[in-house]
Amino acid sequence: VEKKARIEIDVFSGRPNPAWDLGPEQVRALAQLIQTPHERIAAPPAADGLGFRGFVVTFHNGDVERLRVMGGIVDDGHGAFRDADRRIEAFILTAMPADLRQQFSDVLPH
Amino acid sequence: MTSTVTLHVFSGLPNPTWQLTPQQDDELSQRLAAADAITSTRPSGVLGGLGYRGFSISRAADHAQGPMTLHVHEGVIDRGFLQPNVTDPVLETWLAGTGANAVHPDVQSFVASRIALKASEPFTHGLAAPAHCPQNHAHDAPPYQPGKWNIPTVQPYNNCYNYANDHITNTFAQPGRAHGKQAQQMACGPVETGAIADGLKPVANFHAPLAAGHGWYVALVIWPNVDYHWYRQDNVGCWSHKPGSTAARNWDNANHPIADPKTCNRGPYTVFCTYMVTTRHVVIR
Repeated sequence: VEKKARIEIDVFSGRPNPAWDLGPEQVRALAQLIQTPHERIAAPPAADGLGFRGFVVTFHNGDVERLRVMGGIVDDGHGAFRDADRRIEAFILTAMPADLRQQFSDVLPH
Repeated sequence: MTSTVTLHVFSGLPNPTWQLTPQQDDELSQRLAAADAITSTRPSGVLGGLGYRGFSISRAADHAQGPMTLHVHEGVIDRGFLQPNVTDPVLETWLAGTGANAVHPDVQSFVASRIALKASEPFTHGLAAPAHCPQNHAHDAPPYQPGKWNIPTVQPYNNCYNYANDHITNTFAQPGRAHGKQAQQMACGPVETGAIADGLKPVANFHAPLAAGHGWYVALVIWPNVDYHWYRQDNVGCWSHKPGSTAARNWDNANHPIADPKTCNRGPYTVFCTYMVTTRHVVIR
């Protein structure tokens, strides 16, 4: 089964969060970034508040795997790991459609 | 035999005690297993005192998971001297809900207000003066019960509008959608129009008395052209909210209790639109 990935910007309160699907090449590249060995740390407190709360990455390949990318930390549901040099976050920002990047430029990480 | 819960609140009368249903007992096990944030704090209720002093939970030797005694108070699960204590900010609210049939409604309201007070306490640090909640004038104002909302089967599927209306639909309800009037623009007018179609009524402030059956106060704010957000006034007088699919809370973006959504820290939701009144008759989807 081909692996698919959807990225949600966890940012809204009332409306459903904006989201987009990655292309096959992007899915492979992101999966590779995530599978690279990382420093494991304790899971951070749950994201909260009004405004940007991180990116939620959902992989589908039969099973569903969900991760939250926020502030240099990736919470994979079993704890968390450091996103060294924020490479995963930078990849997501680069892969984001231009209209979303423009709409949320005030609240997204730079 | 399932777990027995005792609410420690009385001085003269026997404290209310009740037995969890098998389903509640299973949920309690899940909640206890999930609580793993260790703390060195001990809840003051284990030492006694007057007023609300927390809950004790006991399991007899014939319980499927063996005997156990715990005390839950001030967001801390006291597990005795052999195990470290752990925190759980919502367990007391959940336990209070399990005793709805065993505890007088007046006592339930009192306990809910004490739990809410403690929940907001950590966020008063740094304030010039202790936060004071304004008076609640709405008879039907809901209690602050984050435990009802912050569970996996509810939290992701219900938003600020569900929470403000105190109505779990699991549809991420949108103002006006139930009546074909969903806002197309993220501005005060269209979102308010949608809410009015659902049955909410705009009001100038939250000071007028609302008798039983006449609902409670909510407030609409806007992130211009992007999104909307709702707050509700709880029966303790302070306000609470649920940002999107995240946990319900009674503090603002600056970690302060919310005396008035018009003046609290709302992050990017910079435009205050209006206070409104919602009721149990409002239909949302």
